[in-house]
Amino acid sequence: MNSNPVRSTIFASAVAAATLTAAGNSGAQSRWESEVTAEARWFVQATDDSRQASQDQSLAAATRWTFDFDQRKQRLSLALNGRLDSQDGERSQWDIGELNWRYRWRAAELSVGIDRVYWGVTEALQLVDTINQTNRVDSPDGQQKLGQPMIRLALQPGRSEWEFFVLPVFREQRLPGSRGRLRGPLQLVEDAAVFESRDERQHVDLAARYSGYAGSFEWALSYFMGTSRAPLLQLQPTDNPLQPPVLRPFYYLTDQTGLELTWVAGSWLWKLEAISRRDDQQRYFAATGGFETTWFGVGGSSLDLGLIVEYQYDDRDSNRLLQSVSVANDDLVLGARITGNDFAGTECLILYSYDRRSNGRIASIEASRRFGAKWRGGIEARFFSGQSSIDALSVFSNEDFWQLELTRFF
Amino acid sequence: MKRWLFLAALMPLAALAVDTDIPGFDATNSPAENGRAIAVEAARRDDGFGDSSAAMTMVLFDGRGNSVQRAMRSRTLEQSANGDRTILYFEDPADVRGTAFLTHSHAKRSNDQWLYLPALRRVKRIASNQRSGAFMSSEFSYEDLGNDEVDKYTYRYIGEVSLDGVPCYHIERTPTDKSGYSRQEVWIDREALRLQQVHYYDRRGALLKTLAVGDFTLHRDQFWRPGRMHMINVQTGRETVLTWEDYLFDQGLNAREFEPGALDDIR
Repeated sequence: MNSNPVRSTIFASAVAAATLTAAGNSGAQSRWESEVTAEARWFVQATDDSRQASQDQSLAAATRWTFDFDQRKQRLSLALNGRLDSQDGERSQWDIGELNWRYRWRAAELSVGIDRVYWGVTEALQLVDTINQTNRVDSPDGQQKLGQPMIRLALQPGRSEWEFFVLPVFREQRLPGSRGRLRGPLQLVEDAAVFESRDERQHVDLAARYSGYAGSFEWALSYFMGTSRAPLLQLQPTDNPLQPPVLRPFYYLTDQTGLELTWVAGSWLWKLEAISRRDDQQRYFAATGGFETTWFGVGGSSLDLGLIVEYQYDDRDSNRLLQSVSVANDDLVLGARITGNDFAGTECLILYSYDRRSNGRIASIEASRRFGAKWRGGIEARFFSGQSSIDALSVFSNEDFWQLELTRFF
Repeated sequence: MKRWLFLAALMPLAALAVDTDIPGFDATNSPAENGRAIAVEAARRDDGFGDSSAAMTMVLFDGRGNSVQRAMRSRTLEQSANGDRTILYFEDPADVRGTAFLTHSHAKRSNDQWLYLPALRRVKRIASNQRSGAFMSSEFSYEDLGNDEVDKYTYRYIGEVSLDGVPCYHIERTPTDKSGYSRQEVWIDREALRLQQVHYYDRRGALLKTLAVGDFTLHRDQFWRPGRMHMINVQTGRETVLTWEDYLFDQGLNAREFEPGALDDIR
């Protein structure tokens, strides 16, 4: 845990505590919810690196507390999550996802502290989403995020919303360590990140977003200016020439303009995300879009079947792409979401993505069901295949895995 | 004797005469006009409730002796110009708690719907045919729980019948918008124009589900709300009992709380 976010929220907590004391108990309501997950992963292939193992087990926990008071005008929230992993020290970690105070006044809302903010509409790739840093050790899909210290002001006149963000502290992406899997053949140098900004982690980033809806259309325009959340991974030779080179994360300064569109056409949901963005050398364009549709009660059963089709485009050349942690430059994603509508709430999501340039492929399946009212168990599997060395996916071609997990809710 | 017969012959007319408090309802009008007139009047009598909230408990029966329970809360905001806005947020089972479902009903077009997923802090727009999907694995579809805007159906007044001793208007209504049903038969009581029973017919025209509504309570001396809804799927044998408690009115909820961007702090 980086200490900076903690320090920066001391102010927020102090303000919050003072307000809390002053607030009394007018319409106050507090909620506390927790969950604990036991997880085991089995990797299909062994690697050449003897430090890596073919299986690991971990225990993860998350808790969230919210306190509403002052006729629900004010709220304090705290969310913590952590994990203990049997193999990878980098995967044993904890994080403050939320520690913030929020004040709502008419159509305006101010929040100060650590928080999580989600931008975006597509299913397979989160292109526009950029406020929070990604936690890739919890899950390789990039959907897990780290708490971000921020001051957020939101103005909501009717059917649209203006949001302004000041992000005073930068957090590095969490990636697997030397003993961890899903990192590719090269090892990442831990704690050796390089920054384009001289302020490094203290560079103040700014962002704004305008979003709204009318009829069957929904849109958002966003702008971000600051240190890129996704690093470029640069090859760095080691002191010992017999050792393979290592990877060093380089966090460049960027600006990103993002567009999100959703269009509801009957039972079809059309989606588009596009960004124009600058890295340390060039401006580039990337987009992802597609549709989602659902059939209910398939074949007279209680099953619902959803179909997801998305295309992903990125106009950077392959050398630049290779340095990115996750990339989709000419990829087609096909997905099926099956909802059982049974007592156990059985769900299954199958995604298949195919890189049309390199033939790299990823297939994933996530299925889960409830056991009683307080438990949920799931199975997850990911299979990678890459036939070209220039494809980022090929670094994972030895990382196929199966995962079992069981969560208890409190 | 003759006099008595005369009175008996007059009885149906007398019954109709009582209904002059339903504007546009007249024996000389067409069944379509009369059916719609009752629906319009039922909706009018519910005008002005402002906002309301309630706790909902749902018990699902699978027809083989097993049952499970669900808990959620609802908040509704009346919109004078357009359809109402409703948020359903789930409390139990634990794995879906915090999930919220927002509907903006519209009188003349498909509803706008959003789902809030707390794990990702994400608000997702949902295609409008989600209406025919099962609500939390129950026998209720999202469509069944949506607000019954008058213009979402065309009507045909069938006649007056007694339903378990309660005099009711028997009306057929056909969805004008995309729907999981070809038609519905509804029974609305004469006394207070409350929806007492519904028969749902699937797209092939076969009876799919029956709904019995009861345990009504009166709020603010004007607004009737059901305490119990019992849905039976006659094709599968599955049943759902939905009970409503803790109705609260006029809590000063504002439209801003019913915007998709506010779903993350609704609870």
